[in-house]
Amino acid sequence: MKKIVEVKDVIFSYDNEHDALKGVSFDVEEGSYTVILGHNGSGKSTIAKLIAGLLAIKSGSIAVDGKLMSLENIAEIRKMMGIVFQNPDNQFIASTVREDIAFGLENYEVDPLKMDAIIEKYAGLVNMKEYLDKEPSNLSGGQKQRVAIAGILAMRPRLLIFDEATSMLDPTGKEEIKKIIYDLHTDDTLTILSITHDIEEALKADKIIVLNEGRVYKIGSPKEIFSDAKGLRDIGLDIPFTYKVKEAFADVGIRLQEHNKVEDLVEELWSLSKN
Amino acid sequence: MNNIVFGKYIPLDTPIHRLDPRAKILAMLIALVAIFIPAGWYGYGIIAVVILFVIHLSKIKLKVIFKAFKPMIFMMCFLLVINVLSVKEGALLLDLGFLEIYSKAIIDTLYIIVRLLLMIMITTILTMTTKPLDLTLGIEYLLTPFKKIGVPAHEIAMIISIALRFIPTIIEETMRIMNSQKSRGVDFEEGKLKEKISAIISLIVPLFSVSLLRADELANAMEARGYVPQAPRTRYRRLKYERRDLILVIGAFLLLALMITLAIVI
Repeated sequence: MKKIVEVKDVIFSYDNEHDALKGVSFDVEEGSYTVILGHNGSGKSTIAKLIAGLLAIKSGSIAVDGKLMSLENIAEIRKMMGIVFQNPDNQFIASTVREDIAFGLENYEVDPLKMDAIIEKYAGLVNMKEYLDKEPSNLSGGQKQRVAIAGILAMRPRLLIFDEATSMLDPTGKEEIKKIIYDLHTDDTLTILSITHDIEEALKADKIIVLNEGRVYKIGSPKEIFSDAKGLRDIGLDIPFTYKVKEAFADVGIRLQEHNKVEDLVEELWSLSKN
Repeated sequence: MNNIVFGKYIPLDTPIHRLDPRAKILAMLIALVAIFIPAGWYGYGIIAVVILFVIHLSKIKLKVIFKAFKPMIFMMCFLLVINVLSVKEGALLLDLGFLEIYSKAIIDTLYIIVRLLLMIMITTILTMTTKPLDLTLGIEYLLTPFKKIGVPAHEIAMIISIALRFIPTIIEETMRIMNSQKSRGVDFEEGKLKEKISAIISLIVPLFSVSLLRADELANAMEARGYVPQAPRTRYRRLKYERRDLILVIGAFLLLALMITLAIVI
């Protein structure tokens, strides 16, 4: 599978004294849903900003779509990606939903006559069509985050980065955004890179990259990552609900299979109870 | 804090809201010049009537506009004190022994206060009836001729637009910090001057810190969405002059001419 992001031996420091990233390497495959998991301060948000070219690396390299990122080509590289940040308030630039979605289109010099159709299409995709003329103060956190997603999708990115996009939302807002992420994953032309500490969200990923104290702790599928419960707990992370149930049953001598979906776990428990 | 109305756009569909922002900004500037013409009380009376008519057309409640006056009360009192202490002309109204109050001091203060109030009303009407983005566009268009002499028209307009967009957010943030400090025992209303200064510092320091963080995140979000200040951009909203806009600007010029005439006649 083609690699859309290649991160090699990246070292980064905010203060030139302490390295926030200490030689991080990983790849993101095109069309995949990749999750970067880590506790606070592990360097996961830093890596998102480096990939988006918002921070400059100290050493190492980052290539996007085969192009080695540099100051000269950053604008060109940025055109193929979009990033949804943590705080929904701090990325709402314009005074209405409609104008906020148009902001990126204006920057990419899209013909104003074509903008209305694009705005309506992408607002519809995140269920915000009826809020097009609303101001940010009239929207919930989840709705503002949906506007941010629509604004970025309207720019037709090939790589969509979610930088802890659900962490400041209430449970309803979190679920809304997660559903949008899962729905977007059905589009094979769009690569999703989600930075999160939500282990339940990570379960749906194709690949998980676990960061710990500025280093890659482990890379693998959800099954490979969450089978290492002890290792994850040692670095301050936890395992998903289905894996916890499996662990609890194992303690009393019952072996269950690993499930990423609660429904599959219930089915196995149901068939076990019948036997 | 909730009384701060300057910069708040009130979305309504009225003839004033529908006017072109360039025409509104131009009319506002002309009206501000008219206010500074010494046309006497008749002049100010005429301007006040015109402003009240515009407020009526904009369907904005008068009490909402009056809220914008509240932060100016301190300044008005300060002006009165300065004038009372410095102006010693006209009839002696009050002699307290250590302080004499003359009629000219009171009249001068009233002149300044009325001018200030009229100016606040005009600028508040503009921000309440014009979307921040339209205001930005209007300012940018009006500043475009000055680009040739190096005026960064787009950057100025973007700064103003973001400042206006974030006024309600910063007010909310201030309220949150105030409540959080109150819960820790900080008293913003009572206490000696030293205690009040200390209370204000406990509000300002976190507010600055949060605002800087916001500014950083906003800059990142703008950059990530392809914004480059000097780069060419298209515009989703395009401004179009209509006859009503011309009428507004002509009306503002007529008001200015009337004030000049009154100033000469009086």
